[in-house]
Amino acid sequence: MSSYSQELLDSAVAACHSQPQTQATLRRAVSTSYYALFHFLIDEACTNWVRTEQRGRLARTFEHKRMSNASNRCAAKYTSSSAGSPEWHLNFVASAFHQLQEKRHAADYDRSGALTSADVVLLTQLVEDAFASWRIIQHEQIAHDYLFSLLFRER
Amino acid sequence: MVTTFGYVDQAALDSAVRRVERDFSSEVVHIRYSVENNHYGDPSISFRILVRDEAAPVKRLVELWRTITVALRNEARTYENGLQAYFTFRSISEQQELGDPDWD
Repeated sequence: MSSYSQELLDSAVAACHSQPQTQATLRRAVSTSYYALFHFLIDEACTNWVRTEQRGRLARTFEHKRMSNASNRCAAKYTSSSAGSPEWHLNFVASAFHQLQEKRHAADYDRSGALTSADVVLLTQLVEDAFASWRIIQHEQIAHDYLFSLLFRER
Repeated sequence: MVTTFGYVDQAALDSAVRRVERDFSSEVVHIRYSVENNHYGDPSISFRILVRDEAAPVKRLVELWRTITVALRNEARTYENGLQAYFTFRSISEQQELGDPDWD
């Protein structure tokens, strides 16, 4: 796993538990949790690109909306999978990403409602569990099809 | 319910949400929802799930998240209805402190 993604998650967890806990620390935790998963998935996808010197440029081509839509499709496709199966783990990763992206936008731009500790701690834990689920399925074809869909449009 | 993006059968949605509430009543007090647009302007549905304090510790909440989000997606047929589904959780204690009318 990318150490940068883990650093981001550690930073999010620290923000979440910092004292005093404020709306600013909670919002920072949500935003940073999202970027932990965002960069994690991009790093995993770019690892499939053989030319290592191009991976940094490739990483810049990922788009948030395409990744969100692909994740929503993936979550819907595997929504009824059996607990513990590769599809179930992938459904969890994709669902978590889809949720986190919208939460990240609200945390950064929408101050009309208060965030609560329970929901923010949940979101950081979802990212940690998504990392764990990914480690279980990282060699599965469906996982790599998902990574492909985050960047490329199917024809 | 007529929205800017088409027709959503509110009675069917209500009924689906009530079924999930019943199935998860040992951990969930109630579920509220609103149909709106997400930050891209795409049709979406936001579920607000009020949980009992005993269900609020994070490990239990993650397990609840795994099951109830799938149940709500399936029962409310969110994807088939063209709705992106989002979920927010809050404990009773937190809601009592905030008094947010959207969560009552």
